Amino acid sequence: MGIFRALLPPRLPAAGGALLHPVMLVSLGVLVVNDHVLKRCWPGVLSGKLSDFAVVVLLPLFLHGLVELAHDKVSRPLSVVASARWLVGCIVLSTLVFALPEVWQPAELAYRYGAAGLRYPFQLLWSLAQGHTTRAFVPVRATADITDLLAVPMALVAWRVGQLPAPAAQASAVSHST
Amino acid sequence: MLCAMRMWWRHFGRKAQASTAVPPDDAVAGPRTWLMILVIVATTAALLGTSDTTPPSDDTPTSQFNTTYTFERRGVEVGSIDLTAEQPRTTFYVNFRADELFDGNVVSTNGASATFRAAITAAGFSDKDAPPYLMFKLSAEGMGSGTQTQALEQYSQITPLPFSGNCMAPTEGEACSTSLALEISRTDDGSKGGTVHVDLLLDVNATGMEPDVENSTVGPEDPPWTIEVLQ
Repeated sequence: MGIFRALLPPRLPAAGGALLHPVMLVSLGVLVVNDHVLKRCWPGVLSGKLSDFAVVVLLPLFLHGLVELAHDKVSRPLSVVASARWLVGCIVLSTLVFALPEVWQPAELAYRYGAAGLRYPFQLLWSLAQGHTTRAFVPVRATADITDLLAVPMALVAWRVGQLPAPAAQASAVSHST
Repeated sequence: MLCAMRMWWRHFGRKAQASTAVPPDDAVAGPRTWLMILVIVATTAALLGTSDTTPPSDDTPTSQFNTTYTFERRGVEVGSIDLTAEQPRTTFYVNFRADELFDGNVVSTNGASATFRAAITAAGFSDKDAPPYLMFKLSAEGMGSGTQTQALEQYSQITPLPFSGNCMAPTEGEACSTSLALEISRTDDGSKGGTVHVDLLLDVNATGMEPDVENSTVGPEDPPWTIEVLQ
């Protein structure tokens, strides 16, 4: 447990603080390097799974960070309890988005077109910037692989990292992390 | 690496603690806000970009389905020319180069073809001296002597585009390219005088294919080619 705590120090108490947590940044780095370097240079089982592990940590923390920041902007910072509830919601949603396409074909189809729909505006802008007039709407690739579900337990890491420290603990959170 | 991250986290933690005790417009809030924006943008890009680059792993069965892409560019202006007694013939050279894979992973040069379309108008000929026919001689790079066609008012000719080079990865190694030459000449060699005007356009078509989990079609899309005309 001590090692677990040492590896996963408490997040910053500020809204969206988990976005700057080392685990979040490492996951982001792993995702980028694995997708754009490792998968091309050394395709294999490891590179096939690394991104999954990173996404399961990254996606809920990212969504939760956005929720915290938005709530902080429009009204006031989320309470510890409300933040925890949102974190659970984000983890459940992210896990479903990640896991369902691996085991249920309609979800895979929805994921392929949904992800493509989210990407399309950016791709279209990029195409226009390059002087092209149109851009094909192409669903993203997805290969159902039930062994990808091995990454689901990483959601526990997201839970640990995303939790807002209790007010009493907030004051000592930083000193604990040192 | 871990040590450096730990030091960074300590440093940042102290600043964060300080920032909770003072108004948010403190100098610390600025860099942290910018860092958060940077992380949000980078994470958005990483998450949106993660699916496309996933190659099918070696242990997954080969898909029996495909997405078929069609590529088309119509009305490429090749040029206009007046064929006269002084200049009764000309030759257009058209170079085609595939610059990249479509959407990063689809070869766009399969079954490629080009269709030349010419509108011919004659002027300055008397009633008894009918305008001359034009001879169109179309040849592709490495495809022998080519085809010859005579036309009076309109011309249309389709020809395959035999792309060669590194067409599977056009950005690396030898360019994926081909070229055509279209020679246009007056059959009277200009002896009847007058002017024969030719407006020449070009259409190109091709297909591409990619393994998928279902059969589908995409397109027609503009091919990622550069078409260059020389005369």
